[in-house]
Amino acid sequence: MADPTKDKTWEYDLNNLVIADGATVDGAFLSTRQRLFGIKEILINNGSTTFTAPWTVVSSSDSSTSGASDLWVDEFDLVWADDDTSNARSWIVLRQTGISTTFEVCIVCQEDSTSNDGKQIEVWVAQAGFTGGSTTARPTATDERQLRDSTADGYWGSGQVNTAYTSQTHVWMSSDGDCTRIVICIGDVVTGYWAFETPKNPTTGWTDPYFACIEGEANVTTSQVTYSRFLDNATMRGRYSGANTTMYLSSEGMVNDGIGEATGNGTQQQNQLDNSYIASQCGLSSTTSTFVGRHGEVFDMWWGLSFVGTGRYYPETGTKAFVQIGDFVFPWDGSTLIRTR
Amino acid sequence: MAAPTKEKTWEYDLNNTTFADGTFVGNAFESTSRRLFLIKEILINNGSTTFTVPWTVTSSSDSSTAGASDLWVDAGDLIWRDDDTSNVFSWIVLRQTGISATFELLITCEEDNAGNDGKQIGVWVAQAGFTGGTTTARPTASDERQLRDSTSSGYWGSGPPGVAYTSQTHVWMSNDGEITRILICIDGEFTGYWAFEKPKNVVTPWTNPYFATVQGDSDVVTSQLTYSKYYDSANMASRFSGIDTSLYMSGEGFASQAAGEAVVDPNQLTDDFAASAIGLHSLTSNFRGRQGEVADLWWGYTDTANRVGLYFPADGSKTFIQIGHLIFPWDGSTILKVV
Repeated sequence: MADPTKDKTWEYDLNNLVIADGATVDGAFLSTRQRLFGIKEILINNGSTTFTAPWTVVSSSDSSTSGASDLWVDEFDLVWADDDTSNARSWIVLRQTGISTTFEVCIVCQEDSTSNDGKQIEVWVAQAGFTGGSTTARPTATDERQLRDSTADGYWGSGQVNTAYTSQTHVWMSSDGDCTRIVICIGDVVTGYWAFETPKNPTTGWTDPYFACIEGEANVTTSQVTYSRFLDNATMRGRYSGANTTMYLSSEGMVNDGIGEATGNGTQQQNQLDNSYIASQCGLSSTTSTFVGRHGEVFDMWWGLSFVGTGRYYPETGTKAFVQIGDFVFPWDGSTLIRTR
Repeated sequence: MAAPTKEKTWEYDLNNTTFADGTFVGNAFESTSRRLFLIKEILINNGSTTFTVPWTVTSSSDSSTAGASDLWVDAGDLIWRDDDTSNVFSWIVLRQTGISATFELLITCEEDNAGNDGKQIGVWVAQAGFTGGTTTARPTASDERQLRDSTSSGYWGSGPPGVAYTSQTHVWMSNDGEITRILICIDGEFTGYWAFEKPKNVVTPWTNPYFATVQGDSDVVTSQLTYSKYYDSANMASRFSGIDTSLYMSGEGFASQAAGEAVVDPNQLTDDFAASAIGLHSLTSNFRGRQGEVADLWWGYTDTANRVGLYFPADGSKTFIQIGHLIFPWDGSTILKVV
């Protein structure tokens, strides 16, 4: 497809460097704490960019105190606990009214072993508002949807345990707050991908629609932005009518592939007639019982050609209005993407 | 996706019955000859419908004479030959200016065995104009693209040799002549699908674009309107810059399947009946990429594929119909698949 027109006005906080630091404090490497703290800071406009519709802190815990304020003052306020203990831990609830009035994400510093260096967290999202919470128990919400489970898949993009990494964090936010995307790069690989979004053209009946994900693995070699991750697996999560749902990011396809995968079958290249690189818009399709079907689209995100890889701009020079990261094409601000230091 | 809006004004000649007749005339069953003759008649406005932009005959052979006129006066003028002989045979060239000024279709009555009862033909399309042709040799064109090869894949929807069948033939044509679709039904199955179309939203370098197909098998149990046929296989044919190309009919998909295969029933929130719009995607060297789209044709859900006469929307207007895995514009009538 030809270069698309963006639906949203995008704001960026890109190329945020965290230097590897293996000092272990309160169950986590220092650089891991800095990385997670840095994300929070960017989201609430304490980064280098002033977002038009930033997230706000609803409540938090620094493991010593909990309450309706931002107690994550610096990275040392992030204290991890083993998730099968009742030890004190840090958590934070952030709100983004661009998605819905009380769309909130709750991040909890807990992992399945205290020796995991902060490489795992638990994450929930909800729209009914998180309530409660203490230094030893996270807040809960009646409609909470778990994105990361520290007992099973708590990795969030900071790599594996026992190693401290240098990383680059990139944050996109639409000026209306509808869409927030976060990419974490370690060693040239997109090790973490977070998204909290309002879908485009949602089906009638899907009230207060949203989809979200936090993807990471216990390594720094697996890209989190791939056809495999989102086209072949229902990795996006949401809620409908009181039930948890999952969604695929569908693509125009043929045979067994998205067309960005199939093009060339090993000799991939861009469209040979018009040289276009962007393969397909991203749809949202679900096979969750009672939510089966195509329920919307993703604003301003496209499937790319898988052979291209991260760091290709469209157009290549000049405005650089789009960038391919992994198998996705994102809006871009014209700067140079930094993946490694 | 929501119920689509048609881009074209459609004209239809539907439910044309050809009764089985095993009389052997001109190396073909009588009903087979009549079926192919009927298609020609419908395309040139000798059917029950007057199309706004019908096809025209530019030349033909009835095996006795060849020339620049329509010599297929009745089904008896269709004479088949074994394609590895130099015997006389019938052929016809039809032109559709809605696709391009000299877009032409050549049908030859040839089969790989003279005992195949007319169940095979040779088919080519071209835009440079077919020239020549005698009672023993077909016309040729400098840019011809073969759609059916009587030596290997000549089946065109009339079923296998040895049996005469009753069929229903349905023809769609857009009133600008850009799109012609033909469906042949035998024994309740969609045994033949022919399409000659101008794609929409093509990439700029694809000049005089078209895509075409004539599909059939040597049986009456294989649907010609399936994901397998067009989504998984590049069965649409075309030309670009002097080379033969083939195209897939792409659609939205996930989990290694088309959406209408991965989710077999309509959307549970909206009851939408169409799974996806259709793109045209090629892996042909020098033509690789998504090069356009198909107008007014949609992929459907596989679980609804074999319900006889699944019309949309549910208000009774029957403005769309699912046939096999594809959703077509429809005129509100009731489709006949069997007599």
